[in-house]
Amino acid sequence: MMAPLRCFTCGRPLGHLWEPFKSRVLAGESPEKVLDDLGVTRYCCRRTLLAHVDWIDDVLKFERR
Amino acid sequence: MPSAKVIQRDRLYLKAVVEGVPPSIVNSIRRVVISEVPVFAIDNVVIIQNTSVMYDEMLAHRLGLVPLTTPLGQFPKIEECESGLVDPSECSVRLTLQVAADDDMVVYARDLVSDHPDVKPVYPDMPLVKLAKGESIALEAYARLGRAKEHAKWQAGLSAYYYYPKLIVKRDDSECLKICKSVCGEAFGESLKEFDPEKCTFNKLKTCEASCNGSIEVDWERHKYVVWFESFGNMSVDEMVAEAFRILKLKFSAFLEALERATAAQPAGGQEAASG
Repeated sequence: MMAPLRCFTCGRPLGHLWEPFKSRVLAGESPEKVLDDLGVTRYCCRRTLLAHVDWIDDVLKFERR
Repeated sequence: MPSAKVIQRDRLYLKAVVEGVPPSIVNSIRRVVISEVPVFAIDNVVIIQNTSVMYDEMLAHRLGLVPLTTPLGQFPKIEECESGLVDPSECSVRLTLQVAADDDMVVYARDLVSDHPDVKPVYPDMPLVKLAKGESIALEAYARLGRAKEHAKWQAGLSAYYYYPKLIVKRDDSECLKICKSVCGEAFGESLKEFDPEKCTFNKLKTCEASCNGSIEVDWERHKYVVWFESFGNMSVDEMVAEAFRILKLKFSAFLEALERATAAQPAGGQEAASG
């Protein structure tokens, strides 16, 4: 729904990295490079950010009628 | 004599070569860091109003996961909090969240207002929930000191170690070097002999040994380790490791006391009493 606040596996805080990650990847940077830049080294944390879909926006559509 | 040499360090990360202790001691410290160092986390949420699209319990769960700064020196010790030696209110902090959306907006961790100036979200930019125009949230949250063995939201950080690897090169083998570089690129130089054990874990090196057809042999130094600690930001690594040692020492002294009491109650020659 919303971006995970921590890595599901190791517990490292990740929530604050979601917005920079999203905007940089949408701007065309490679996700690999962005994750390296943000200091996300373990593969558990990488997949947590990489695999997230922010589908709260789909729910919010119904609230905005 | 045990010794430690720091090889990498910043506020949240510490890596060191530790020598001269049995693995059980290094492992104890690792386990205490992971599951016993106390930090603040929101544990009780009183929801006054929530018209957002997120269920109350989901919102409360997300609040719980927000890392909070933890100045351990300003609060009672965790054992005192747990044993009830001090009033539970002394080990907790109240935070409030009050937002009403005039337009579509995102609620961030920074919107949490804390009653204590030094207990606040570590990362103010964490998004908690999105609101549509007209929605609002009002709640009171109570953070308390806790340990990660109760819930992972109280985890202060991570730690791991590996045996200091010993690489024995039997013969120069460029094919083997290529394989090893694909496993541990940073650790190898121009030949197999140029190897930095602090940059390649023992297990990775074993992988490389297995695919090298006997060109190299991997052994490990007894009682020598590469240990790393990572703090999640609630406090600096230094504070985290210091607290871990304090807790571990406390456990050792509690064990010794119990042992002394048991032996005093049962004088020498108490074989029968022991079996009974």
